[in-house]
Amino acid sequence: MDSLSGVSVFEGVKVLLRRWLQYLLILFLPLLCGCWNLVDVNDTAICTAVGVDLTPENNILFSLQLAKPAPLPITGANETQMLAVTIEGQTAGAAARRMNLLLPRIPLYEHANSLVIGEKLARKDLAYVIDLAIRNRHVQRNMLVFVSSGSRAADILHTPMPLYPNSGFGLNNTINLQKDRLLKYQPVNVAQLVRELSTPGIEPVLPLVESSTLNGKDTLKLNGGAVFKGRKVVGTLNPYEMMGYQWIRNPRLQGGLLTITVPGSTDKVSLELLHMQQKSSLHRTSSGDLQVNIQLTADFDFFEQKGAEDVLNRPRVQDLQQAANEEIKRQITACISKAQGMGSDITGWGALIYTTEPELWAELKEDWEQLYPGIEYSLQIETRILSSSLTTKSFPFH
Amino acid sequence: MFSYLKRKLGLLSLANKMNNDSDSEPEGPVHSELSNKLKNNIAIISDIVGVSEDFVIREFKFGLHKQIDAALLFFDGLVKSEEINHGIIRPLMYESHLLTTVSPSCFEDIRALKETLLAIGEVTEANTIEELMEALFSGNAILLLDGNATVLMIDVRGWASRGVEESKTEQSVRGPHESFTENIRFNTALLRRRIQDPDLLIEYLVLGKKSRTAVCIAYLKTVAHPELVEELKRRLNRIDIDAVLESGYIEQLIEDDPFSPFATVGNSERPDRIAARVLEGRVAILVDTTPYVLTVPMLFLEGFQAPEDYYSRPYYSSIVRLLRFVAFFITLLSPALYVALTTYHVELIPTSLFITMVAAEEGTPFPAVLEAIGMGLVFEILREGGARLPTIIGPALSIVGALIIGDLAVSAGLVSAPMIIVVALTAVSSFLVIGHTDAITLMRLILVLLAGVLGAFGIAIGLLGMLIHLTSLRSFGVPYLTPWAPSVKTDLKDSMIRAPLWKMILRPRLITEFDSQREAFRLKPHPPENP
Repeated sequence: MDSLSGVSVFEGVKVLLRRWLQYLLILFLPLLCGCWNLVDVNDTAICTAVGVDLTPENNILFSLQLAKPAPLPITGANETQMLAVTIEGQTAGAAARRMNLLLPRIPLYEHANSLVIGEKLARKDLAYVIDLAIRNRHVQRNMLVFVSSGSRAADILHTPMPLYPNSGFGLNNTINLQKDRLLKYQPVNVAQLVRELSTPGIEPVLPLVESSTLNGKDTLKLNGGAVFKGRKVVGTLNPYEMMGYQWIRNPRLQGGLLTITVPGSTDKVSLELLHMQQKSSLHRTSSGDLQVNIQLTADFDFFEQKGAEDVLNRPRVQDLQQAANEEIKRQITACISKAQGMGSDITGWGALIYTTEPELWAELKEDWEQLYPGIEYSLQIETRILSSSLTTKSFPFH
Repeated sequence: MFSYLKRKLGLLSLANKMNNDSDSEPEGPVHSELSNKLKNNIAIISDIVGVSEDFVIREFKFGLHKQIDAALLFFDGLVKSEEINHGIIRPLMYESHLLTTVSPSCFEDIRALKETLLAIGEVTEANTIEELMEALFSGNAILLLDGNATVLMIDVRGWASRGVEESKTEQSVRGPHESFTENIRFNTALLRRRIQDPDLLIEYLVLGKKSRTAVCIAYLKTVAHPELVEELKRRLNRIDIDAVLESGYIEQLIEDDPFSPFATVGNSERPDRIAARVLEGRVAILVDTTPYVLTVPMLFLEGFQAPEDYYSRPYYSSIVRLLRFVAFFITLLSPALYVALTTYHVELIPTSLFITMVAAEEGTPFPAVLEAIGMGLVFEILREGGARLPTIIGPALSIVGALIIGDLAVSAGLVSAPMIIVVALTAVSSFLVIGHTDAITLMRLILVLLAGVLGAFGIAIGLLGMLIHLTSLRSFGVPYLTPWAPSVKTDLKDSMIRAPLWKMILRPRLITEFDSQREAFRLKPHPPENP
């Protein structure tokens, strides 16, 4: 220490004290701030799903599905280990806090990965719940959103799913698995929903979930999609139309099954989607009208045949490709006509105009609601069957 | 008896300087000269030594007519009796008759004895009591002759000592199994056998006023940095202590940062390891009475190296080296991370894992921080118990440790099962980085506390503090974190990975300055080009 030389001993001691004081202050720093966000695991309950619904008095009916961890040793992972609780509140957040009136633990929202919006609330106003979902830092943005169909959100949360300890994770898993294997429903998470809600020219479609029965026990089932217009639901898409929605809303797809009828026969053939590429672009017809051009290329793998006819030869495969082509076209058309009928731009064509011709969108956006049902579109679909799962012939019955 | 002996010896050695060689002139203010009367000399010496049971005064007569009075003094147990009998007494008493060509009186001069009769390798002359006493205590026999004021110090050292055995603390599958012993002569020999080059200097000095412990510093003259050797000698000469019982005494008196939890002086009991370090330009400090040899400078990296890294082929060595780094972070961080994750950042744990953890934690009475600290404490107790335990009781400790603490604590619901796993993982990983165990133990505790107070932010602060401290550390002028900070590109070949031997051409840059090439270029083996 240079400062120590040439000063009195007293000064030196003071300098030394000051130095040590600094260290002491730094040492005590952690104690000052305390244990702010400390949550002991023993005081918490893991929340697996959140449900929001509306009471007749316009209050929020807030439901939680909590994981009930099996005590060690775990007797069986498939047993139902969940508990649903419901409470009413003036706002969703208030209801969530009021949860502690009947729950001796702090619900941990971080692990919840399904948000079920009650049909009633969805038909009323999504703004009742969406603010909590984006403002609260405990709510994860990748939580998937569902809309209940035919029952309250609380009932959905009370219903278990088979082979899964709780239906909150079960729902999440179901929709993610079916996407790659069946291609029916599009999982939508909070972030996507918020993006679609806040972008003009595009409307969200949320998967519908309803109570069903399996072996005499209640369970949950995905069935169709809820079509939004602005902040409220205006209609639904059936599973067939949902598949059409999948084709036009995804630029790329992998996996999924398409079942078609063999031309000139009643046999059915299932094709597995290897990969699909889709691109929508804006055109003008010769008369100057706007037209959306959808180009779609889909490559399939021959998956299964219901019938004995040998279809795996060049001319018949051509027929199958043609039939698949027609089927996809039918699905897309069904979806678009439904959407145009409801006047809800779930196809995202408004956003397409906004990104390609912003000036035009500035003119159109005021009247887009009226214009959308009349927008023309054309489909250019190319379907190829690339392989037949290493079996080149149909089964040789004799 | 011993206290008197020590007091006398202490008084004597106080007068001596530390860097006293056994055969160099003692420096001190008082030199008590010997007289030429045998009786007087014996009286003085036995007065100094006192009534010691192991002190032997053998008086005898020799010469052609048995006319010469002589006495042989030594400490029983410090000398080899065969050499006394066959190398000193027998030639003097019997074989002096056989030398008929010399005059009868020639043996009256003690120098003539040294030149003709004594069949011992190392014989030196002494004129003062101090010289004589030091030689006596270090295991020499002293031959006094009537009529001579000069005595002969005959090196017949030989005391009971452990032979070269297998290393207990640093074992290896491949590589030499011998380790250093408590005998410094064996140790220097073990080193000398590995580096048979005149470049290897082994300098000798004595430390400890009472213990008079022999200390050797060994280094390669042309490779070791001269300033390093000089600085080491300066620090060693500073040492003014009554006894040096183990090399740890020296380590604590010469290290750079005595308040740091990290060791800045390396140690090993494997000769091959010490030889390798000396060959890299480090200086080894061998201390008598301990098998642990010190080396300076020490780098942080050395805690992650093992001799086998260089004996096995490079792929496996590199994987193991990386594994040690992983283990270092596991053992340092896992309890802290567990505490931080379970108390502050539950969203970071995968959900299914979290549910299982919660199920295991369900009903345990203590918060995670206390569990972590408590179980860490239990592990340290078990480890310390295991280290001091007589081997016969070992199994009992294993049963208590494994069964009672591990299993029953969980089934009784006192501690959660994941915490036991974390502690066990911590414990096992800590054995992969033996070199830094003490520092890690301390840092782990600090990090757990910080994690308990501030969560992951606390861990970040703790690690940052540790990093700042590590970068500021130096060991004998060499930055502790080389080759990473400061970054020395050529030395990275032997850090996280171990490059092939034929690629390790240069010695570590910051340790040695001269003669830094240790092998030829283009040593990579290949088939003959034109057979």
